[in-house]
Amino acid sequence: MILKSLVAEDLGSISSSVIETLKDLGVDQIDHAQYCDEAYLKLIKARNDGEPFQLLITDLSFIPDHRRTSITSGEELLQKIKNFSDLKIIVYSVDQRLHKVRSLVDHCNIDAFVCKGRKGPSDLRQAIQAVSKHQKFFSKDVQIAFSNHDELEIEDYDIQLMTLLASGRSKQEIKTYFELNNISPSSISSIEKRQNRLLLHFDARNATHLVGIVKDLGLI
Amino acid sequence: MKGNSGVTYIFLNITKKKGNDRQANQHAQLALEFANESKLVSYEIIALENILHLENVETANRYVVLKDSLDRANQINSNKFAEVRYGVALKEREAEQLRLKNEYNTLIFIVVTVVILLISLFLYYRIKQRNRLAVIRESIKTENRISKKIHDEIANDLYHTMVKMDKEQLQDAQLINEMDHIYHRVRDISNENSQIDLGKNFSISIKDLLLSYKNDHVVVTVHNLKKMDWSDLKLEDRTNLYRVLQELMTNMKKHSHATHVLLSFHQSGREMIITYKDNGKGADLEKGNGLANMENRIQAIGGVIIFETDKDKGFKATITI
Repeated sequence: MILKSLVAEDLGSISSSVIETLKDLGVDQIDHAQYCDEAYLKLIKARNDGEPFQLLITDLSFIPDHRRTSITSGEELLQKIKNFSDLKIIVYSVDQRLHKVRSLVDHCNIDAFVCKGRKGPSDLRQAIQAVSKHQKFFSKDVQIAFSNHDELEIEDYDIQLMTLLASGRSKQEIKTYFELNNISPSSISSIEKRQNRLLLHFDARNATHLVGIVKDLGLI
Repeated sequence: MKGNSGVTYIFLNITKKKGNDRQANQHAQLALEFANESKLVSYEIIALENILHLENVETANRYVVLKDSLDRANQINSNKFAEVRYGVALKEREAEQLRLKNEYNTLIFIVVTVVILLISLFLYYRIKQRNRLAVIRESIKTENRISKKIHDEIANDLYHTMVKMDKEQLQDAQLINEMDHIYHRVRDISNENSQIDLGKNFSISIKDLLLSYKNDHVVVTVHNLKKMDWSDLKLEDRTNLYRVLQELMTNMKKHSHATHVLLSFHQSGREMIITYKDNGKGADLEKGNGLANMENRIQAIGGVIIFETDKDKGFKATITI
């Protein structure tokens, strides 16, 4: 269980709600930093004292004010502490651009990304619980950042297959056509597999429905 | 012939040796005849000279002097003539050289002019291009700045208020829902204008963009995005293209009620064709400056965008760059 946590957040009301959530979950040592510099120093000091923080919950953007700061964004802070292997990191941000989330995961070893929003507080609660069990957590809006990148893509092969389906050919006839034109894969089972994938992708009930959809889209 | 010349030579010598005028005269006459017969001109002239000497020394001397001076004069004259001729040739050559030089100068002049013209044309297009990119860059910077401000100040404050309402047990569901709605809209505006990751893989940036519009109600399909090579497209142009795709998708989400969207990418040589097509209720091409905005952006890249729509026949946009 996590006992010692640091909250880096420049807006008082948000950080107090985060702190309350932490308390609610049984974390009793909670510190709070309003600036990235401050957060960094607190993290370093705790390490040097032999009592490192176990969890950091940080925002990404900090509004600049009269204070001169050397670390201006949450991302820079995370870059600096990415080697703190025993520290769990939850990012709590409005910014939900996928490439940003992905780069934070790839380069800063973050454990969770929670989008501020209607479901923010409950997502945060889940995230804290997940990372204390050494699991990852990502809000629903950014989960697609890690989905398979081929998910949206369809290939020329798919178009050929659907064109043949549209012309009313049976699977056997399609197989023969593919074989004659040296298009692979041409086996019945792989044609079926592809067709099912396409039905799923286009959210179509059957081959006729599929053909109707792709015709509307001008794909065939 | 050899005999004759021998005889002539003898007569000539005899003529010189004989002091006696009459005999000498006879010999000289004979020598002349022989020289004549044997057609030896040089001997003939010597014989004639001898005769002249014999007859009248003064006349002969005068003859020789005159002849010599005449010869010399002729010689000088012909030298002069040669000189004049040489002079003329020299002048002609100089004129020719001058003409060639002139032609050469004209050629250089033309070449220099053409080169200057080409350089200035090149510079003109470069400056124009640079200005074009500077304008785009400036607007991108402004967009990013405003986006950050919206994000940092408004979105966060809104969220802050929502959290506060939640904490203070203001359980007015209607109010919180409205707040949430406003919050999302503000955040969307911020995201739509925030900095884009245009780095190494623009295809992935586009894919991310399209993915974020995919949900339980909308199927997004991409064709041949993987095959695109964006290296010819400047970063500023990529931003514009990205924004147009973003706007197409946002319009789709907001107004079209489409269930399926297709983005088709095609490249042949330097030309790129990107087609957007949905199966929504279609759009009104007349109203809204969203379309004009997209047109401006694509024009800034040097491309063309064509919109096609019909009621309940979906919306189609074809971008050619």
